[in-house]
Order: sequence, then structure tokens, then C-alpha cells
Amino acid sequence: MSALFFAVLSEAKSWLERSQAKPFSHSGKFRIFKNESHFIIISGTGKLSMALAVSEFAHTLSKEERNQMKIWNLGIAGSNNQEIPLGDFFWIHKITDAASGRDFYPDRIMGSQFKKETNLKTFDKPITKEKKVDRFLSLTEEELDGVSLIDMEGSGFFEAASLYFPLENIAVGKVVSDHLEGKFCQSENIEMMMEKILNPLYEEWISPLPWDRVDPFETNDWPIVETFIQDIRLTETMKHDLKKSVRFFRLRNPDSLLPLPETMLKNNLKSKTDLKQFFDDWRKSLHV
Amino acid sequence: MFKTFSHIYIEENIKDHFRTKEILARFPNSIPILIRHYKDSFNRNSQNFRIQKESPKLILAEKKENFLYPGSDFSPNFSHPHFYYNTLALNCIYDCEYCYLQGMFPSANLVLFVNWEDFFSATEEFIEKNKSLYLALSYDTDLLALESFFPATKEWLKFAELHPNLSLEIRTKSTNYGQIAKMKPNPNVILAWTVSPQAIIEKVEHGTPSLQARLKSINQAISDGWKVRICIDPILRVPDWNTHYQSLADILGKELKMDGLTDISFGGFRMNIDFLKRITEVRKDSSILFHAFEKKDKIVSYSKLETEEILELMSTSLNKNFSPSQIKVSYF
Ligand code: SF4
Repeated sequence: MSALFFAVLSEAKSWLERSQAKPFSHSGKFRIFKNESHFIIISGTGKLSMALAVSEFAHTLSKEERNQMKIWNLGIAGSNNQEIPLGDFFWIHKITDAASGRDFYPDRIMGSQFKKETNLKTFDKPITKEKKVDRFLSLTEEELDGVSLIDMEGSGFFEAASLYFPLENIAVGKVVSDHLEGKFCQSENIEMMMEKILNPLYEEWISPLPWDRVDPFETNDWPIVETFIQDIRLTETMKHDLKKSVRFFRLRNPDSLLPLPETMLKNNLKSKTDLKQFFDDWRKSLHV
Repeated sequence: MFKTFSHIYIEENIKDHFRTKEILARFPNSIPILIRHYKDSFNRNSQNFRIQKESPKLILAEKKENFLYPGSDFSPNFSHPHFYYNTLALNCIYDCEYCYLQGMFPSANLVLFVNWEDFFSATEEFIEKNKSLYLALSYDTDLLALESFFPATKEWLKFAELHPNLSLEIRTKSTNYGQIAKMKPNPNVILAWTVSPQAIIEKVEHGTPSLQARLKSINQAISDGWKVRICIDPILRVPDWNTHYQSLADILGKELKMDGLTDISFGGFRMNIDFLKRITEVRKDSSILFHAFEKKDKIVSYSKLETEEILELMSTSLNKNFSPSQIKVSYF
């Protein structure tokens, strides 16, 4: 499963079309779209909205689902570097929140056909290098020293996502939409830029996390044991220890049948001492 | 051997340090990322050690305090009154299934501290005050394994030459002896190699050199006049463990040059219970970690009976080849 967060609809449009995701009915405030197994969420502008959208979405999932979910934020960003052409795509390996000064480091573990990476600074207002543009915050070259890309959601996304999802599952990618000239981008331009990266990135987005492997022990062995023990009263600690012993057996004997005690023995358990003996004997048989 | 590092995180305050530059020059294709403090990256919550180990990153940092730590109860102190260790690096390029670092550190990324001079000064101060120091140099890492891009072992050997009251133990599984082979042997330095039966190396000590390759390095070091310690530690009760360890003892007896051998120590698997718990949460494919261990004082180890078996087997097989005074039991 994968989830993709955008700030605005124009960023998401081509992705919604390609994935054929349909509105997902839920009790929250944010727009969530879903196809069979992938989600697209639109948060609205700003890091607070983004953080709330991540949190709302996370609450629609179980912890197990969250652990296996790839979770991305894609969108547009302004570039402080005139030499970077518009439309270039970058993975983000460092995000600074301008207001709090906090830094976040998305781990780039997976390979991508997009090779470029850079840093991102998230501001609460649109930023320009020009002096005094209405509704923009003007920053000088010195204030932007070392900053590569600028957006309004990245830090909110990453901080919230890292509360709910494993760090390795989270990625942020940005398309350069302007050079901080102090003009708002037109929706059509945004749509076009996002569409350009769609085809190569879509496959990466829907492919499962490489480390999301099924544990055959959980799907094959443990359910058998759980069924076997359901009518005897093992404590949680006993269950925990038993699980480790069964796993030990399976790792040592990948092709053997799992030794289960005779059902008759199980039915004859009268006292706690019987149970303890039964349990110890079983575990011993697993540690051969 | 290990792959290169895709990313190198660099603390801002040491970005112009000459050692940082030297290390970066070794990895021209890695992406550098400036960070404020290594802990901002290394100590983050919800990192998965196993997943990170698939693509470990390098972190270059400055150590600001704690240049010496008192030795832990898990390791033999070889009866020295001032047994300490330092941490010039955190984590290891190898991936042994039994490694406690997996349970101790939140991240699998490799931290290298570049301000060795501060470590040297703190060590000098300690020696001045306490008159002697036995320092384990390769703790929480395999330092010699990093020598090609982090030549700290060489520098410490130079430092030890100037400080006769300092004894060093440098423990490794690497075959990087060649990197320090030109140094003059120092009687206050023990080069310690951890060895295991080849079958265990292949199955459990991922990425480490073969037994034969380690033996070659060991013999070279002995011939060159170094004091060498052999550590068979941890002994693991894998299937047919007794045959494996018996034949290891025989191989060592046959192939090691005995004269320069300081001692040969062995110890059974043991680990802090919380570390093991953390490791088994993410490493579920290693049977050695799911053994029915005994717990005592927050440490798990083999049962008394199993331990006695190991002691008996190792004493008998080592006694065939080594003098009793050379054989040391490091921990049971
Ligand atoms: S060589 Fe030592 S430090 Fe490195 S992984 Fe193996 S046990 Fe851990």
C-alpha cells in the first residue's frame, strides 16, 4: 500500500487520473482518494494543514498497515538557485522548518530513477527574493544562504508522518516551479509540471516497499499454534516464550512438521502445575 | 566487503576539519548532507536497524565529551586496575547476527568521530592522573576494519609509542593488518582477533573475512613481533557446535604460530536482555537469537549445563594444542 500527499488539487490532478482513485468515504475533513490499494490525500496549503491531514489519514489505518505503507509527499517548490531549470525533480534529504529551526532527515534508502537530491526549507508564507511583494515574505541572499528549495508543507508532512510511520517508509520529492520571483504559479503550469514526472514516478510509488516481506512464521506456523492453545490458559508471558520457541524450531528445521503435544495431554490438564509441566515439555521438544 | 555509502551526514562544525575532507575524498560519489548534531540523525525514533543496515550511511561528527568509558562487565578486563574503552566510531561495517550493537544503537548508520586529538588529550590526562591505563580501542565498532578510510588505529599506535603507561587492545575480525604492518611492534599493544569456525563465519558473521584470511593476518602479525590474542567469542550452540569448535581448536593449534601468542580466550554467548529483546523484534531470521536462554541479572546466556558443556569441550580441545597458562575464559 502507498499513500501520497499533495497540498493542492492541481498537483494531484494527473495522479488522480492515472490511479483512477475515487473519493474515499471517511469521517474526517480532508479529501482522501483511493483505488484498490493506494491512497491520494489533498491537504490544502501550509504545514499545519498537511500535518493534520497526515494525522487524520494515519488514524484510518491499523499499526500493521502503517508499518507496511509507503508514504510520500510530492509537490512544487521554489528554488533559490537560478541555475536549476523549472520542472527539475529532487528528492529531499534534509528539511528545515523555518519557524522552529528544526531539521529533519528523510532517509534515502530506496533507489530511484530520479537521482537528484537536495535540501528543502519550509516557511509559513510564500517566499520571494524580490523586495516587497504583496502577500510574500521577502528574504535576502544571506537569509537564504545554503537553502536550495522552499515550500510550505514539507516539514509539517515529515514531522507528522514520522510520528505514525516508520522513517524508512517516508519520502518527500519536489518539482521546481519558480525562482522566488514573487508570483503565484498558475494551476495549469503546476498540472503540467506534475504530469511530466508522473509516468516514471508512478511505478516507483505503487511498488511495494522492498523490506515489506511476508513472515511465513506469522502466516503459517503461529496460527496453527494459536488454534491449538486457544482452550488452555497460558499467560501472556508463556505465549510470548512459546512463540520464541516455535520460531527457534522453525528456523532450525525449515522443512519439518511442527511438534504439537498430544491433544489428550492438553485435555488432561488439571492444575497449574500440570500446565507448567506441559508447557515446559513442549518447549523442550521445540529446542532440540 | 561493504558497499560505499550513498549519503554522508556531516556535522556543520567539522565540515572544514582536515579529517572530514580526507574521508569525503574517499567517497566522491556519496551525497553530503550537513547536519547540526550527529544525534539529530543517529538517535531518531522509529528507525529500523535491519532496514538501515541494507544501505548504511556514514555520519561524521565531533565527540564533545566522554572520551573514556569504564569497561563493561561483559568483557574481560584481563585483571587490569584501569580498564577503559573509547568510542572513536559507533557501529560496524560487518553484520554479525549476534552483535549487541543492533540492540544498543537506534540506528545502523556508522558514526565516525574526527576529533581524535581530543581523545588523545583526555587519555593523556587520565594516564597522568592514574599512572596507567588499559584501553580497549575497538569497542562498539571494528576499528581496524575501517582503516582504509578512517586510519585511527595507526594514529593510536603512534600515540601508544609515546606513552609507555598506556596498554592498548585492538580487537578485530578484519584482515586489514597490512594497513598497520609497517608500524614498529609495541609490547604494550595487543592485537586481538576474534575467530570462529568457518561454518559459523559463513552463516552468522556476514561480511567478515574467512577464517583462513584471518589466520594469515594473525600469523603475519606474530611474525612481525606483535603480541596477539585470539578470542573465540561468542561460542554459539549451533547444530554440531561441538564438532565445529573442536576442529577450530585443532586448526588454530596446527596453523597458528605459537611463540607470539599472548593468550587465547573464549566465552559463551551472552547479552543484555533488553538488547536481545530489541534485536529479536527486527531480526527474526536468526535461530541463535531464539535459543532458550537463561536470564540472570538482566543478562541472558546459555544454561548452566550448556555452559559447562562448552567449558569442558573448549578446555579439552584447547589444552591439546596450547599451554594451560595461555588459555583464558573470558566470560561465563
Ligand atoms: S565484527 Fe563485531 S562489532 Fe562488527 S558486527 Fe560483528 S560483532 Fe558487531
